[in-house]
Amino acid sequence: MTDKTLSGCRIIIVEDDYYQAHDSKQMLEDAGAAVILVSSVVPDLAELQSQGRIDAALIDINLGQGLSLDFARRLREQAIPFAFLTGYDASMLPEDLKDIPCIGKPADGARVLATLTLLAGRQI
Amino acid sequence: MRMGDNQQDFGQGLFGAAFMALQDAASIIEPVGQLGGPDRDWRYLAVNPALQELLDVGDVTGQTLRQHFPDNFVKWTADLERVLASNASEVIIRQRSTSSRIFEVTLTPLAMGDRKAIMTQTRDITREHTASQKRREADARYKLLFDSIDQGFCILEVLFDGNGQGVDYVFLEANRAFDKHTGLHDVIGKRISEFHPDIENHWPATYGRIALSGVSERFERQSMAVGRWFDVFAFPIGDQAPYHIGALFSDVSARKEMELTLRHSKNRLQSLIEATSDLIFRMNADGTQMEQVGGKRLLGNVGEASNWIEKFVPEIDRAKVRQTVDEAIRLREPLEIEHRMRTADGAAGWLYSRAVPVFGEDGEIAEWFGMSTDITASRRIEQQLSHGTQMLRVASEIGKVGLWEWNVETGEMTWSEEHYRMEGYAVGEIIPSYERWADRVHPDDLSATEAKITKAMASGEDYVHEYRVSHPTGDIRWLSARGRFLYDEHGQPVRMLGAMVDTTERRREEEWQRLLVAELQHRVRNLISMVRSVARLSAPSHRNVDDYVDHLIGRLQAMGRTQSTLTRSPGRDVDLSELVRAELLVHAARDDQAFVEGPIVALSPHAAEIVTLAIHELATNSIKYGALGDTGYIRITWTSEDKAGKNWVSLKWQETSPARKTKQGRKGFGRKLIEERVPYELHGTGSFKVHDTGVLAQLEFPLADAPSILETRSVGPQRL
Repeated sequence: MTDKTLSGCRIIIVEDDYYQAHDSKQMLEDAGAAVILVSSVVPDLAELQSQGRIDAALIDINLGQGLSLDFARRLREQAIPFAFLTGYDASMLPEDLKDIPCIGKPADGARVLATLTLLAGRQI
Repeated sequence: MRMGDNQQDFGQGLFGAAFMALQDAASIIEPVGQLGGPDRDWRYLAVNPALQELLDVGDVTGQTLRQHFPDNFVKWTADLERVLASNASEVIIRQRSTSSRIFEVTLTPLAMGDRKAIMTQTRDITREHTASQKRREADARYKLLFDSIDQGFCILEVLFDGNGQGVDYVFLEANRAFDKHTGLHDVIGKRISEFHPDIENHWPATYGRIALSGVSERFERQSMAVGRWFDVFAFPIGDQAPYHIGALFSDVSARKEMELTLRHSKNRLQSLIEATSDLIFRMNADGTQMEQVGGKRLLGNVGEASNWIEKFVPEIDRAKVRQTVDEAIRLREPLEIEHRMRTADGAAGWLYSRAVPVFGEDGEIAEWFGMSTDITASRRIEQQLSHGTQMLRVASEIGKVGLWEWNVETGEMTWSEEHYRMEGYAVGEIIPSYERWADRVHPDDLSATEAKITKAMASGEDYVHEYRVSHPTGDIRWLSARGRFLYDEHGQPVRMLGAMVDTTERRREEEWQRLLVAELQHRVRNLISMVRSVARLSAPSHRNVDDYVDHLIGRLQAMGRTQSTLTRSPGRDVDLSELVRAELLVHAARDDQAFVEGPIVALSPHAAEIVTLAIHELATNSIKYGALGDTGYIRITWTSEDKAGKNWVSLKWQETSPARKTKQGRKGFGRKLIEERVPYELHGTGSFKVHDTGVLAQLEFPLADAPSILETRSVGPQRL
């Protein structure tokens, strides 16, 4: 984690759990990433993109106030790589999102990092 | 004269004396005069006393016939001349002209040399003659009688063999009708065997027996030889040889044939009646008395005619039967009815009875003729069937099973009531058909469902399939169907029977369960994540491990309390007041130390979790540094108000403490919770300030309106 493998990577986190969001942010920043957004609700993607590029996203599925699946589909449309970080089992994913990497909670920091590194096209 | 001489001579001799003494009336008479001449006459030479007496005359010796019997002269002269000429005696029977007496006169020619005379012997045969005359008349009448009767009559003489066995017979007499009855002609004096050499032995044998026994017999018998049937009365005539038999007879072939035919047809009818498995009965005109006339004893031993309705129809059906019978009588039409019966020995059953009226010559119903069939078995089967059908219907309704039957050949379909409902039809709304069914199958499932049916039809395997139907209301229901095809002897599918149940609820439940498990998993994982985060966040603020552990345990316990509250009343919001008081109680805050006030507010479990933790942090902090650890007190108050369409709650924790202990500069766990987590997770605001008089903490957040599925089921399940 000290390798800064995500150096320069612009990453957004959509996570409704404050502590988890906090942890993820900490971990990714430790790996050199620039976490440009941590949100407990679905953000406005277009506005975010207008502020700069997004290299990867780490999103929870159940945001308490609703599901993030439509947001995930929009990310895919924009060719932004992303991974789910969720308490749900991967089998609960709908058909069209079955191929999205799914990391189970409690999050294994190394796995989150490895997944995002892969998604961002960086070598570990 | 010579003649006188002769007379003298004759009367004086011994022969003369004998002649005169004869019992028979006699005379001797000789011709006088020229034969054929006018003086031709006959003179009595001698007249014995018997004759004199018989004729009531005196001694007419010497007198002539012409002199004495002028009236009879011509007649007698002819007789006498004839006898004289023929020289042969004659017997002449003649009624006396002066009376009704009849005499038999024997004229005998006499000759002495060339002298000729005639002796007469006269006998009164009036009695004999009358008797024979009568007999002749009787014979004639008898002959007339037998010739005039229609029956054949004959007199036979029986011919016997050496053993006294009649072997043939001769016809002695036969009347006119004889020919007609026998077909034979000119039989008198001929034997039967001359006409019919093959005549059955029993004919002469029977006549022989009658002749010998003297006992007449009457019999009806067929002669194959003659080719006829005869009705014969035969009686003996005389009791010794030659044995004669009188036979009075008729040719009864035609009647016999008819009888036979009739008997055969009667036999056939009777056989039919006896052989039938039905009961044949007759009933009187008004239908009150009935008797069995044949067939099977369906009612047991029924005895003689009786009121069967009373006797064999159980009370429950009596009125109905009575009514049907009366109605048939009124309409004069055949009656037909199914009814219960009770046999003579008490067994119960069902009969199907039919009867037709038989009309008399007056056109009124004379009686009824009918038959009853035992339909107990078929009734029982019908009942079982109907019972079974009813059970199936009830069972299928209770079990909410939709049934269908599909006649593959005609396309006809039958649906149970539930089936209609399952397809979103009102019961009976449409005529069931494959098309009406297909109309309701969800378009996405139709081809797969039809493929399954086609496969089942081809393979003979059961059709087992679960598919969706779309109701007109927009409702989508899941149906689980099982069916089976039935085939004819050529292996062609003829029918399909099937049943199905609505599995929508079950599927929903299963889905629920799946979601609940997933949600639970989600929550547990989140909880562990949180614990990990809490543990990590707790670490920097403690210098020693014991302290850290105390804090960590306290926090985990607070989280645990929230969980147990939620678990105790799942799916329910948590009352804020209750939550606050419980948390204070845990921290042993006395009543005089805390003032709690606020309207009733229901928190979502998520909010409850955070508020619990926040109160815990504030209370812990207060015990350590503030009011609860001293003589101060706390006001915990909240309000709720609408802000931008949402219900916001605003909670204030305000400590009043005489002396605040050391104040912590770093942003600790509790402060982070209030100032960062509340905004982040509850989308509200939080502030934590330490004043001289103590801590003032404020939390404001909107009450959530879309809680997690585990927390309330009212939202309904959702797939991710």
